[in-house]
Order: sequence, then structure tokens, then C-alpha cells
Amino acid sequence: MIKHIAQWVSDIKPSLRFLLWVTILISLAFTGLHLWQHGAKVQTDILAMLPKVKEDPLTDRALSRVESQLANRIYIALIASNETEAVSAAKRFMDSLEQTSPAAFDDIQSADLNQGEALSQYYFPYRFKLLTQKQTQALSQDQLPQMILSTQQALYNAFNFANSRLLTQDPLLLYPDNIMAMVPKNQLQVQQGILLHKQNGHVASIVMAKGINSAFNPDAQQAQLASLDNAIQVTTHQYQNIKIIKAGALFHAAAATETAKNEISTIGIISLVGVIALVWFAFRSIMPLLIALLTLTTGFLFALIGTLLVFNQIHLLTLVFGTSLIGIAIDYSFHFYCERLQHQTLSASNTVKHIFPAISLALLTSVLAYLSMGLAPFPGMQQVAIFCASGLIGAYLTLILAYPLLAQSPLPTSKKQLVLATQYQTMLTRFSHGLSHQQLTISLIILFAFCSYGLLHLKSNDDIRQLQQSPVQITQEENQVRSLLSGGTDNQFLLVKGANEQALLQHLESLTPYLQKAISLGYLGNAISISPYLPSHKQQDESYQLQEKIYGKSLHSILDDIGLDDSIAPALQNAYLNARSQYIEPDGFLTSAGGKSLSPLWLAPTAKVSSEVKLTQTKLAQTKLTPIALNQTNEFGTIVLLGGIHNLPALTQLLMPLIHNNGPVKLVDKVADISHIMGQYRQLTLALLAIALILACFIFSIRFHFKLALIIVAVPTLATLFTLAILGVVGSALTLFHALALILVFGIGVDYSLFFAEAQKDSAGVMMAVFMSACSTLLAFGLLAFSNTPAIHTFGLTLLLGIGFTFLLSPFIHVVTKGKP
Amino acid sequence: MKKNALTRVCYFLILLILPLQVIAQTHDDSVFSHPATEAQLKKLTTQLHLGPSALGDFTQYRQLKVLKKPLISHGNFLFDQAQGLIWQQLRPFKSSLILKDKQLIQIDSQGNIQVQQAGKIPAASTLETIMPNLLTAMLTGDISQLKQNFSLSFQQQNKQWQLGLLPKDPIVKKILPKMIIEGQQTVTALVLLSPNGDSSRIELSHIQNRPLTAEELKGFNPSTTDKLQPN
Repeated sequence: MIKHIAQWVSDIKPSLRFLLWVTILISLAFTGLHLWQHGAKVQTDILAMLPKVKEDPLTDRALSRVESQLANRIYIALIASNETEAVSAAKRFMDSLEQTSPAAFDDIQSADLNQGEALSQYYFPYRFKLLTQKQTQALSQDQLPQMILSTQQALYNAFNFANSRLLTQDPLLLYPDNIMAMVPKNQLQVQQGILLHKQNGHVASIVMAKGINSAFNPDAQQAQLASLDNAIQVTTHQYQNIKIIKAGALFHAAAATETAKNEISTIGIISLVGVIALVWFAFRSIMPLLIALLTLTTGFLFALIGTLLVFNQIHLLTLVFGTSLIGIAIDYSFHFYCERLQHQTLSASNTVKHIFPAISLALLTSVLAYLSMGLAPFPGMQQVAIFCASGLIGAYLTLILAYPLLAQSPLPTSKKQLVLATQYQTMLTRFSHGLSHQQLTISLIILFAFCSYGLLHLKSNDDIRQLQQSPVQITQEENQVRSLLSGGTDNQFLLVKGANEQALLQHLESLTPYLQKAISLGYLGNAISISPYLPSHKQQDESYQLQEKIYGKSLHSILDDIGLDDSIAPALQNAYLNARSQYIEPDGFLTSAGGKSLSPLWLAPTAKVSSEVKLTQTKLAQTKLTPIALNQTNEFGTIVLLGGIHNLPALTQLLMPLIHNNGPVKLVDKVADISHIMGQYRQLTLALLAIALILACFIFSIRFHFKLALIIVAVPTLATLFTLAILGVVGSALTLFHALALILVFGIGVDYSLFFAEAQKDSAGVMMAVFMSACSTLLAFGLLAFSNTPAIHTFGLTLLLGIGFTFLLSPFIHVVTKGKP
Repeated sequence: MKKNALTRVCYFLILLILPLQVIAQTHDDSVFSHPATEAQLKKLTTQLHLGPSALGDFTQYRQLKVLKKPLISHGNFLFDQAQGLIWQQLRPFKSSLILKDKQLIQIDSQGNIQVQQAGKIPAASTLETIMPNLLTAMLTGDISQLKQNFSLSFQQQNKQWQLGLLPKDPIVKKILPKMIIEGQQTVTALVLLSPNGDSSRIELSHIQNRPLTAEELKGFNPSTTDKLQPN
């Protein structure tokens, strides 16, 4: 059948084919222009590479909250030799950040003093609804005399915060302790509004800021880095002994972008130069070089437009992967010219006709391999698949449509290269025929033993954290700043759900003792919960009832004992009675100046369009936290941030009573979830590879006899097994990226086998083409193995090994076909 | 990463909820209009230097507007440059405050002991460390330490001088906006002025400059066997 198509295609006039090719190119160029004008862009967000995890809507909302709130934060520590310098340097630094225009950061702060003021102000009217654990205990055990005594002692302390105004409204000084209990203990000191950490004779002041846009957005990233650099320069100019260290996703993102950009240029250029050198070496003529470049350019145009058409954006990492397209698209060109070199009498059109079946089958398998790679749930990987597949189609079309007209010019008549290729093949033939049965058996046994050993020692590791390896310096600084902030916040968090606000708040209250226990057992460093700020109505009522013991009949004697004038009693009692129906409510607190910063932790339902929900939504809109309309939920949820997790399994076990049986608490661990998915898809991809090999065997047996088909497939299969064995021997743990690369090894490697199988007897041209293909592919992918991005490195290394083995094995097909014509 | 370090910081800004009253100042605070010169401070430093250890008595008059009568307390203090400071109130009830090795130990009238590591002291308790630090600075004449945390002013009439301290830390500033140290040959009193008209005056007397006895030094190591309440 394929012969008929070849005949049919070759019947079309070369000029007409060329016209068709030009038309396609022009329309593509216009499509590209149109897409670009309508917002297509280059994406550098590393997160866009990660697979999407299917979560329930509330969890999805919680995840995007945590990401949007935490991902854009940066933490700066200014290390000085004394307090004064640390404080003034931090002030100078913050000034400089604030003065940047247009602003790159907001929320620039160290210790926020207004926040404390705001909290005090917000809660004071509700003071009768608040009691600390200790106060609750004292009141319920009727320890009023002790409480009065400690009030008296506080009053005698000249440096106590107690003062006349407070005493008249809170005679037992209960309120200050409540505000204190709301905020966890802290290792940091505050000096003039600046957070300080003192250690080993150094003083570090800490400054925090929030990027106005995502750190992964290229423009925002640039603006933020520029603003920071400026602030660092200004500060270190004035305080020359200051050392500044930084932490935050921004610096990881910037490093990743920088690496990707460098690699695109270095890998791209080296790969291109290598290919040009290869073409020059082989054909010693300017025309093949120009034609090869034309093929690559067309391929790249197809790849770019194809990707933009499907995704409306192209990822920077896609371009890094995409540089390898150079190595594959050039294959068609090589194949064509090698044929020309061997059969110089044929016209270009006839050469195309001659190689049409092999090229078409090769395109089919490569495109299939790429597309199956795109089945993985990685948006980035899917892009790579579309990019490479459309690039190959572009190169293929160029060969079929444009070569007959453009590549007519004859090649220099030297056949030196072909002679070399023939010599190599002869050597292989002699080598394989020269082997005695005994030698063959021994080498097979050695190979088998090696493979078994390697495959048995093959491990796998799907933890995605190993894929995010930032430069050591960035990680070190990050850890340093983290330790100054005593742990910081981890990726994992708790999501607590409730059917309504009060149910949710009560669930939160039942969670608190568990968290305290986890912290005291050392499983956990810290937890940020909204619970201390929002006691449930139930707890507020209990606290209110207990304070009856103070503001009831005993008030007069209490006031007398403290030494206060009895005349303030009626006002106090009135205030107490009036407070009965006033409750601390989430909506009120989270919109207050003191609670605003905690509002991202609160997830109100989005489904019911009640007035209350509307209010929440306007509130959310105001705080730039527009809920995602698609993720509608009718449950209330709140996020509990966890920091300094030392023992996640133990923590999970401890919380199990609240988690299991669809309990109100859920541990959200996106990293683990993604890693899990990676593992699943790794297995799926390997299974897919096995199926593809079997399928290919059947497809090929339609064109060739079954035994040859089996041998054709055996080449990539053995290459895959050897690659896996080597990975096992060197102890490199298998990841999804290895599996994806193996799919490509199959897709590309099977081409080589096919070319040899098609060539039958006269295979010097094929040998040369395959040699050049393998060289260019190894050039492209071998270079990827030197990438600093672990995923790309893994991918490149696997292909390097796999294609290497395929290249070594595939000429033996010719040995077989020649031996048995 | 911690989203919000401010939630970890403790605040006591109770005063701020209440409208600040404008009260006719009963104390003379004219000292604050005379910024201290280097020369004045240098002179004061040499004058105040008491030597490695000192001890004396104190009387504190605390005037809270809403209380029927002023709170008057008496006690003594011990200072040793190597050990630290003991501030012991004897009447109307016993309580002590010990500052040593960056630890702040508080013992109440029932013998409850509270220990705070200086590094772990929450931000707001800066307030609690002011007094021992202030006293240490006063007794050793370590004016440079005061200059780190306060803007200083100085006034002298005959032998009587006043050193005005305005806190740089905003939290402290809001609670104790003005402090005055008074003295002649040595420090005689410390005056604290609150924004709402409350005030305290701590008078020091019988200051002696001699090495502490073994018995006196024992006070720096209170028995921590009972009622220890680490904070």
C-alpha cells in the first residue's frame, strides 16, 4: 500500500509540490502571527510543568490559596555585628524596597506593630467572651483570692503594662493574657519594630515582603529581582559589614529561569554547530547544508505554531527539550542525501520516492512515540510531545514537498564517506560471522548476567523534590533564613472542614490539643491556626458564664481588695451584661485590620448565593483573593499551616482520630500526591512501551516477514534493556523521565532498524545515514544530559544510552538480512 | 515559610485601645527639651561608675489615678557586674526579680519562680527587661548602652542633674513614653511617666560600693526545686 502512496505522491509535479509547501508555510506564519497578537506567550512558570492532581473543590481552593499566599513571599535576613546596625540596616533596606516604582513588593514589614494594636482594639469589646486556659481553670476552681493577689502584685510593678484606664474596664487584668495567648511564643526579639535574631555574637534582622505578582511570571520576576538588587546595593553601600541572605520561591524560580535560558542557548548552539559540521563532513557541499538548515527552520516553525495552537503558550523548558528536535528532524535530510550520494543517477524526486516508505513509517512511529509521551499528565511534557511531533511533521513535509525541486543540485562525486560506511559494515559482518558458537554463547551469557544484575538492582524514586534542585548557595541561604525564623512553614498543611461556621470552629478547637501534643513530642515545630482568634460560640458562652464570678455579686469586694473605687462597679456590670449577645464572628474578625492577614486561611462556601456569602465574596475580592468560580463548595473550610515538620508519619498517625472515616481534618500534601502520580505514570509509561513494542512487531510483520519484524523490534527492546541495566548498575533510581525517554528511544531507534530493514542488500547509504542520525541525535540528547535541570538531565542521559545502544545494534539487522536474503 | 511573623509577636498595646488622656503633667519634664551632649554624657559616665558591685535600698511610689491611694513599696537591691542584678521587694509583700546570664527570674510572693531565657523572651517582654537593664546601666554608668535604646537629654541645676530618656522602640514608647533618671553624686531616683497620668517614682538610698558577701551572692541562685514555672 505504501508503495502506491509513494507512486501517487511522486506523480505530482515537483513545482506543484513546492507551491503547496510554500502555501502551507505562509498560512502557518500567518497563524503564528495571529496567535502571538492574541496573547500567546512564553511560559516560564515551573509550576506549569507539574502534573495536575485531582482534588475535591475545597482542597483545590485551599491549595491555590496557600500557593498564592506563600509562594510570592520573600524573607531577607541582614546579619550585622551589633543590634543598632542590624536595626538601621533593616530600616534602610525596607525604605529602599518601598521606594521602588513601580512597586514590585507590598506587605514590606519586619515586626508589624500596627497589627498588635489592631488586634487589641478588635477584641476589647469582646473581652467578656475570652478566657485563657489558665484563667478558665482558676475561675472554675474558685481561685479568686489568688487572682486578686496576682493583680495586686502586677500593680506594684512599675514596669507593668497595667494602668488606670485598663483597671477600670478589666480590674483583674485578664485581657492582656488573652491577647498574648493568641500568638504563639517566638524566638525573635523586636527592637524598634524590627525582628531580631541573636546568635553567636551576630544579630540578624529580618525583613519580609510579598511579591505583587507571581515570582514565576517573567516580568514580575525581573522587577522583583531588580528592586531587591537595588535595595541590597543601597544597604550594603551604607553598611559595609552587613551580610544579606535571602529565602523565597523567587530565588529558586529565578535560578531555574536563568539555567533554562542558558541551556537553550548553549545546547541549541552546540547542537546546531555539531550538525552543520556533520553535514559538511559528509557531503562537502553548501547545498545540503542550506537544505538541512531549511528543514530545521521549517520543523521549528511547525513545532512552535503547533504548540501555540494547542496550548496558546510555550514553556521555556519545552524549548530546552525542543532543542533535541534539531537532532531528529535532521535525520530526514541525512537519509535523503545519503541516498543521493549512493544513487547519484536518480533525480531528487525519484530519491524521495525511493525513501518514501521508510521515512513515512519512521515518521509514524516517532510521532506515535512522542504522542504517547504526551499521555503523561505533565502539561510541560505534553507540550514537548506536541512540539516535537509537529516539528517532525514539518521536516517530513519539507522533504516530500520541497526537496524534489530544491535539492536537485548534484553532490560532489567523492564516495569516500560511503566507503567508510561500507568498511564499518563489513567489519561488523566479519566480526559476527567470525564468532565461534562458543564465543557467542559466552558473550550472550555475560550480557544476560549483566542485564539480570542491573535490572534486579533497579530502584525507583518518584519524589518530585529531587527534581527541583536549586543551586547549593540558594538552598543554603534558604535553610539559614528558615532556621532564623525557627522552621518556617512547610508544604504540607491541614484542611479542616465543617458544615457551618460553628461546626468548623468546634472542629478546630478539638484539633488544638492534638497539635500541642505533636509540638511537645517534637513531630512538629509550629502550627498557625485561626482557632485562637475565633473561639466558637460555645466556648465564648462558657468563658462568659465563668466571668459571672467576677462581675456578679462579688464585684464590690473584688474592687475593694484591689483598692479600686467602688463607683466603677455599675459601669462594669453594665458592660458585662451588654456583652452577652455580642460574639466574635469570622466575618467581622477577618475583615478587621487585625484579622485581615489571616483571612487567606479561611474558606467560605461559594455555592450558595446568600447575602452572607456575597459579603464574603466582596471581602475576598477586596483582598485580591477572588475564589475560583469553578470550584464551588458549600462547606466551610480553614487552613492550618504547619511548620518545622520533623516526623510526618507520626504526625499523621497522631491526627488519625480526626482524619479517618472522612473526619473533619485532612492532611494536604501536594508534594506526596504529585510524587504518587509520577510513580503511577512511570509504571503506565513502561507498560505502554511494552505494548508499543508488541504492536510495532505486528505492524511491521505486514510489510516484512514476521522474523524480520521481530528483529527490527528486538533492536530497540535490547537497547531499552541495556539502558535499564546500566541505570540499575550505577544505582540511578528510575523516574517518570527515564520512562518517557525510553519511549523516545523506541520511537527514534526503530527508525534505524527500519532504514536497515528497508535497505535490504545495498545498505552503505543507510549505514551512513544512520551513523549521521545517531551522531546528531546523540549530539542533541547527549548535551541534554549535561543540563542542570534534573528532569532534563535524566531524560538526556537515558536517551544517550538508549540511542547509543540502538546505533550499535541496528547494523546487525543488515548482517541478518544479508545473511538470509 | 512562615507567612506572617507578626502573628508570632506578642503585643501588649492595651493602652492604645483607650483614648489617651491629656493630663496636666505633675512632674517637671523640662529636661526633654535639652538634648544631651557628648561631653555631658562622658562626664556622667565617669561620675556614675560605682565599681564592680553595689547594693542599696529602694522605695517606690506608684500613682495610679484610679486607685484610692498610692502604692508604696520598699526593698533592696544588689548589683554585681559578674553576676547580675537582684531587685527584691520586701514590703508590702515579698517578690524578687533576678537578672543573670541573660536569664530573667521572677519570684512572686507565693514563691512561684518564673524563668525566661533572654533569647526566648517574646518581643513584648522587652518591657520587662527594661528595668533590670536600665538599673544596670545606671549603676555602672554604661551610658552607651542606654544610647542604643533611648534618645537622651540632660539638664543640671547646681549638683542636681536629670537625664531624660525617650524610648526608640515604638512599643515601649507607647507604654512608657518618658523616663527620667535623677541624681547628684550618684543616682537618686528613677521617674516613669505614663501617657494617661499614671506615674512611678523609684528612689534609691543607702547606696554602698563594696564587694558582695557570700551570703548575698547566694541570692543569685534561688532554689529552683519548688514551684518552677519555666516560661
